[in-house]
Amino acid sequence: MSAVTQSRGSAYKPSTGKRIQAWLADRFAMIAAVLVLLYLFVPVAYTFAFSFNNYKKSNITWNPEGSPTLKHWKNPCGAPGVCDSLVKSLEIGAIATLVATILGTLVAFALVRYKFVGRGAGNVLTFVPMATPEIVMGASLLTIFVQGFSRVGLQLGFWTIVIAHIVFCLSFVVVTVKARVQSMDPRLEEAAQDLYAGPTATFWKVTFPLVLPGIVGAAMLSFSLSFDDFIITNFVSGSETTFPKFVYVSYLRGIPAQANVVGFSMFVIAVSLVILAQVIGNARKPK
Amino acid sequence: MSAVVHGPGAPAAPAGPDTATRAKFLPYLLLLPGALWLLIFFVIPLVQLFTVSLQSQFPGYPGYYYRDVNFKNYWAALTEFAPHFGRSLLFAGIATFFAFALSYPLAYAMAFKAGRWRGLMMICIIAPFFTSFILRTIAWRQILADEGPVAKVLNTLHVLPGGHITETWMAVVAGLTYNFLPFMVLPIYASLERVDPRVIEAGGDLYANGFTTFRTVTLPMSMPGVLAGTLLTFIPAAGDYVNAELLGSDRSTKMVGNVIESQFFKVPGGYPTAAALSFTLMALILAMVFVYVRRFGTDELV
Amino acid sequence: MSGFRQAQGDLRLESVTKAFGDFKAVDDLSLTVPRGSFFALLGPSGCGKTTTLRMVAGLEQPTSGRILIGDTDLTGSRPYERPVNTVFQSYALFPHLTIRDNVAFGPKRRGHKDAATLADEALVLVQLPHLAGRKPTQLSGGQQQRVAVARALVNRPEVLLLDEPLGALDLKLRRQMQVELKRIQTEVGLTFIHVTHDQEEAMTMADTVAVMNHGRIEQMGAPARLYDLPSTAFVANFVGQSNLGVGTISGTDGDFLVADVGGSRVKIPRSRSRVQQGPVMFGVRPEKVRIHRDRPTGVGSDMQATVRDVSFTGVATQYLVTVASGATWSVYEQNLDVEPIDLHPGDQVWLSWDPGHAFGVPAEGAEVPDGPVLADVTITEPHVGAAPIQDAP
Repeated sequence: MSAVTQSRGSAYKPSTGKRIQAWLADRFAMIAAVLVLLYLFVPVAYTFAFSFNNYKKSNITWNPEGSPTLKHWKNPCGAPGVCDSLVKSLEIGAIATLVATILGTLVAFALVRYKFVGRGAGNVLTFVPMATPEIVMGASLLTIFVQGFSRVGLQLGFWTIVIAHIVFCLSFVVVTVKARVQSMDPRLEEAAQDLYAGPTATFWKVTFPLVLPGIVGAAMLSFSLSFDDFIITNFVSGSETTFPKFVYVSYLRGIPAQANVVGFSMFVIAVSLVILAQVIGNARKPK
Repeated sequence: MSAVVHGPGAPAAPAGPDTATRAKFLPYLLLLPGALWLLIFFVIPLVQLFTVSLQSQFPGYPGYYYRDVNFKNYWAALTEFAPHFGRSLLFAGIATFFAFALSYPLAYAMAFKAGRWRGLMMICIIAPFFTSFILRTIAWRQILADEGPVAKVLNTLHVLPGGHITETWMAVVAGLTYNFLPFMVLPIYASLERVDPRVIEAGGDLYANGFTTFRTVTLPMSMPGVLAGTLLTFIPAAGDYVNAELLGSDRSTKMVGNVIESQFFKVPGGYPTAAALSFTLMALILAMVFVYVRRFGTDELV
Repeated sequence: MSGFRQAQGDLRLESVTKAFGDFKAVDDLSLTVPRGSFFALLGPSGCGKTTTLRMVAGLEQPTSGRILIGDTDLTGSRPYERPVNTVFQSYALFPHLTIRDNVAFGPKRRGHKDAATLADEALVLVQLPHLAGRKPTQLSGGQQQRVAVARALVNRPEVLLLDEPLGALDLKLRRQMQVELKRIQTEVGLTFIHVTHDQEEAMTMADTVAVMNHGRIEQMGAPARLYDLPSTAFVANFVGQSNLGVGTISGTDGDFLVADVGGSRVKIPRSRSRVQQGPVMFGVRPEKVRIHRDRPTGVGSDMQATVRDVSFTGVATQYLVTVASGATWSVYEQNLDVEPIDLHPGDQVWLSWDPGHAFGVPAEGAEVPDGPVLADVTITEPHVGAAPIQDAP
């Protein structure tokens, strides 16, 4: 390989322009990728910067005479509603994730592992919610909650948000776990059976540990979708306020910088957790 | 002991006469809770929404309606709000195209060039999700504002028609592109990751031209991902109203989502119209998805 | 490892059939594998050998027939109820468990208190005790293969099944593992059933080889016996190579049958022919044939031929020649002479062989698999045999 390159190099010397072109062509994808990643971070950086704004009336423009301040970071719950709405979002996200992950995993196993009458319908039923615009799902849920479920005592609020979030999280869990179950080598389960593991032992000692990363991934996806959802939440929340709804509602009056603090902190926490998980995963692999 | 885990070698075949009966009910048992949930909180609400879309108003009593089979709501939805439908599809289409153009190099680099940086890049794509989507959209509004850096530079160069970005369709499309980008990147990456790099090398060996290799080998092999990505971007973008609300103007950039939202929350007696609009939007999207999947066909989606 | 239990009896398959829809993967198969023997199931892909193995393991249930070890009927029992363990193709090691936990998996399921100790002992047997703490992905292919063997052996099964266990290894490692597996089998004295499509592997390792084709056993016996006296054209070419020709038995000459093959008269020992009259497929192994410039005298059988290709392989030279019938024969000459015979394509030569080495198999329905070297397929002239049949491969 190198000999070929060398002999060609001695016979034919490309011009500097050509060489720069070749260098760029080789790295075009990587350069473009880095630029796109930076683009993804622009508003995050903005949010971070404006968490230090020592503003007087509203946190829209940088206060001309004020130097950066740490006061919003020292007292993130200082503005009314920020922490209350955050806690609500975390609670809703946790419950919705737990329920959606359990139900979705069961459905995924049924759809991948068995052939039965209604399997096709099951596949469609779990896929269609993903192809439904959020606004339609929100509108239909609002209709049924107001016109149907309120008669049995279910008022718009915390639990209607949880119910709605489970619906869309469920679809994503099913798709994620299904992919993981499908990609599993069937011989591993055969090997377990061959090694005296009955159906129950095969499931808990082999199948489940191997599918677990997919389930964990699905749970993380669920939580982030639930935590960040605004459109459906806005329809079914009544007077309950989640963090995204709090930000949206306070937009006209001016969003307190504490919201920036919370938003950026969530970002940092999430990134740290993911990196921590990877580091632990790497450390557990003996060299 | 019956088969909790079916021998994967023969998922279809009954394991034996003794276990066949239990194995027959087990999948339904697994499916039941999730399916019930979706039935009660997805299918039935849609049916209810559909009946609402056919209701009529009591004349003279705004806000009161009765059960009916009245297709006038659909007619009103399609005539009165046609521009909004047009904008929704157009903006979502443009945003999907830009998202694709930005995502492909990123997904490509992750799959073939990133090496050990792959995991970090993945984190970078997902992480912004955790800074609330509303917060980031509002951040864009400030960044793109007339006194912000982007508009100032473009105006100095005199390349910005009208002199504004916010309150125009450009800001709305930019916001949609930004917000749904990860939904485009991840499926494309997933399908590129499955491509054996040696296949692409073989392409390079046979065609000896980077672009030809890309067009004839890499792109076709990533089509399932591109297909899934465009759907996952287009569908939420077409139904979105937050970007139009926060980045657009009051009149000229409103999308269907904005109308549905205001019919529900701000117009007394707007439920039937809002419901009709919702169903029309869903029907349009499902029809487009159907045609699209038929055209670029793949069965990997379901 | 004296703790390994001796096999409790012979493995018997009685008229086992496995059908997938209309397709019979295994067709009325009966066979007995004596306890403690190293048995190979040899055949091309799709011949039913893996299905047979999976039925013994319990991973498939036969459509009809019985599977027994000694007097115990295993038919219908589940894989985890059988005293049988499998070394899977591509090993199927559990990626989430360490090597020790992989090997200890079986003993733990059976409630052994000292499962880890047993696992370590088994790892010593396959010479990998130092890797017990690693994960499967950190091992090379050959090491994974040994772990798979240890994981199966540690359970002291009555029968150990090996499903193409060496298929993923490179040639050198494969040779090494063949010797290794044979050593382990001798040491533990268990019944091994080895499924492979590699005839050399089967012959090297097994005491008994069964050649399978289309769900049936074509021939079964010791490797040397199979090679020396194949009973069908399929075996003649799947186990080593053969020069074959369709002919008709025209008479007898003492203990020999005389047949007319492609215009030449050849002799087959009566005792080495499966047919005694009518159409016959004559065969002789390439290394039994000598090649000469001039017609040799005082030899049993000879035939004229034209050289088509000469390849020198070091210890031997392989000649491809066209015989009178138009078929291509292969001849191996050991390079014994100081000045080897110098032949070129196009040269007219004489072939000779000791008629005692010739064999005859049925010509009707003869199916000849692709030989590894001879690529040409020639049709014998219609006047020779009863029907136009594919000639030597």
